[in-house]
Amino acid sequence: MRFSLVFILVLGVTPAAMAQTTTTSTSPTLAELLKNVFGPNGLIVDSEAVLPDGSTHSAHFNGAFQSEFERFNITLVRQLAALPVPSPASGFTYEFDASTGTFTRSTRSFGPILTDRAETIGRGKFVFGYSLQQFDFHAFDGLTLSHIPAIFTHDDAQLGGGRADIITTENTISASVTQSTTYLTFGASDRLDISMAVPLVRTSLSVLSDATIHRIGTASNLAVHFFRDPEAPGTFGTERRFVAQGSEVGLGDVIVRAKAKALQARGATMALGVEARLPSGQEESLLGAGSLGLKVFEATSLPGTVSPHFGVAYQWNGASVLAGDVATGQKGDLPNEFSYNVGADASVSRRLSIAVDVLGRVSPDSPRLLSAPFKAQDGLIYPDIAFELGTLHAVNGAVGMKMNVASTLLVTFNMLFRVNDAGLRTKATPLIGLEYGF
Amino acid sequence: MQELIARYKSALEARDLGALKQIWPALGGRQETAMKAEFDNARAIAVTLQGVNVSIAGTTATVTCRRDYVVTTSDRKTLNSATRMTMTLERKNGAWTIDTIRHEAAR
Repeated sequence: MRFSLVFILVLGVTPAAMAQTTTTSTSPTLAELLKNVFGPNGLIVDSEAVLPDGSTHSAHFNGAFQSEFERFNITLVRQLAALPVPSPASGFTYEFDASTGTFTRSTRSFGPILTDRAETIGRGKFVFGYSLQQFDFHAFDGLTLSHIPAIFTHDDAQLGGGRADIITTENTISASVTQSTTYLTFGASDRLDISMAVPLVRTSLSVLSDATIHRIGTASNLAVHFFRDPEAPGTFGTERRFVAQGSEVGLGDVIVRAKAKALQARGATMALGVEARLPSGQEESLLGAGSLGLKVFEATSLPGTVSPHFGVAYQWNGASVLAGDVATGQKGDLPNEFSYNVGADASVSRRLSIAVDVLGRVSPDSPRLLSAPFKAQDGLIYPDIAFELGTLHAVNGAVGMKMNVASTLLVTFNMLFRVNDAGLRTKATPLIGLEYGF
Repeated sequence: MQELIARYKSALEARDLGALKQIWPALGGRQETAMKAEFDNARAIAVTLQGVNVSIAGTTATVTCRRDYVVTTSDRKTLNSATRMTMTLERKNGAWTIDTIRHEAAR
C-alpha cells in the first residue's frame, strides 16, 4: 500500500514537470519484470535515420541493469530461503513451592526467537506456531534501491560516431516480501523434534526508470535517437519514463526438519539437526527458490539467568531457473550458504523473556552489485552499476521478546536490523508471532 | 474429620477452588492465588494421602500425613511432589474447617 501511494504520487506530479512520456511494461512473470521494464526487446529508442541500405536504423541500447539486474531475483529469493523456522520454546518449567503446596512456573527464559535452541520440547508434545514477517527492501550492497543509476550504450558503441550516444537511467526499485509461516513441531521423543513450516508469501516488485538520451555522437541530428511522443508529433523527445510493477501471492517453500539433542552436560545442551527446504514455491513468481535446499545445523544453549546460545549451519542449494534464465527455463546453481548466530536470552519475569542475537550469512560466488562509474566518449563520467561474483557476508542483529499471555500461549515480537550493507537489505524487519504448546 | 480430609482431596482433584474454600475459609492472599493458578494450568491433579494421624485438642486439631501430589500441566508435563503435610483445623458451629496447611519435604 505504501508503495502504491508513492507510485501514484510520482506518476501524478512529475510527468508534466518533466515533459516526458511514460511507458508501462508488462512481464510474463514477476521474475522477468526487471528484464522487461524497457519492453520485451530491451531499450530501443525511436529513429528516423535511414541506413545506407535504405532500412530504418534500429537503435538498440544495452546496459547492465537490463542484462544482469535479474540477479537481484536471486538475492531476493534467497532471503526467503534463509528464513529460519521460529524456534519453539521447550515447554515451561516448574518448581514446587512448599509455602503454598503448589507448583509455580519458574522464571526461565522462553528461548531465542530467530535462532535454534538446543533443547527439545519433549516426547508426545506439540508446539503450534504462526509468525508474520515483513521485508521492505531498502538497499542492495549499500546502493539505495530508490536511486540505482544505470547507463545504456549503443550496439557496437566502440565504433563511435552516432553509436557514442548513451542513455542514462535513474531507477527506483520497490521490493517487498510478506511471509506468514505456520509451523508445527512434534516431540517424537525426549531428544528428537520433528518440525514442518508452511509459508505463505506475497512478493511485490516494481521499477520506475527515468531514461535520458545523451546525444554525444548525434548532437547535430535529433532524429537519430529520440523518444517519440504521440501527443507531440514532429518533436524529438529526450526523456521517457518506463514503469513496471507486479505482485504474486502463494505458497512458499515448505520446510521439514529434524532436531536431536546430542549432548547434555552441566546444564549445557547441544543439538544437531537437518532441514530440507522443498521447492514448493513458484520461483517464476518469486515465491520460492525453485530448488531443493538441504541444511545441517548445530545449536548450543548454555544455562544461566542470562542464557547464551550459538549455532552454525551449512545449506546446500540445488539448481534454479532464477540463477539461470527464467525465459528459457535454463537452470543455474544457487549459491550455497554458511550461517552462524550468537546471542543470549534471559527471563525478565515469569511471563516475559527477551532475546538478542547476531546472525551472519556467508555465501561465496554470490552476485554482488557495485557502483562502476562509466566514462563516455565525451569524456564525462556518469554513475553506473555492474555485477560481479563475490563472497557475500551479511550480518544482522535481532532484538525480541516472548510474552506468556495465557496458559502456554506465547506472543513473540522481534525486530531484525542490518549490521552491515552486504546483500539485499531492509532497514528493519519486524516479526510478530504466536506459539502454543500442548 | 475423615470427611474433611476426603473433601480436601476431592477439591484438589476436581480443581474446584470454591469447594476448597468451603472447607478452608481462611484460604486467601498468595496461597489462594497460587492455588488458582495451579488449577487453571492443570489438566489433572491426583492426590494420595497416607499415614493420616489426627490429634484433637478441644476445638482445634492437627492432622499430619504424607501427601503425594501429581499435577499434569496444560503443556502435558507431569509434576510430582511428596511432602509431609500438617493441617491445623478449627471446630466452629459443630463443623471442622481447615485453618492452615504447611508442607515439609517428605522423608
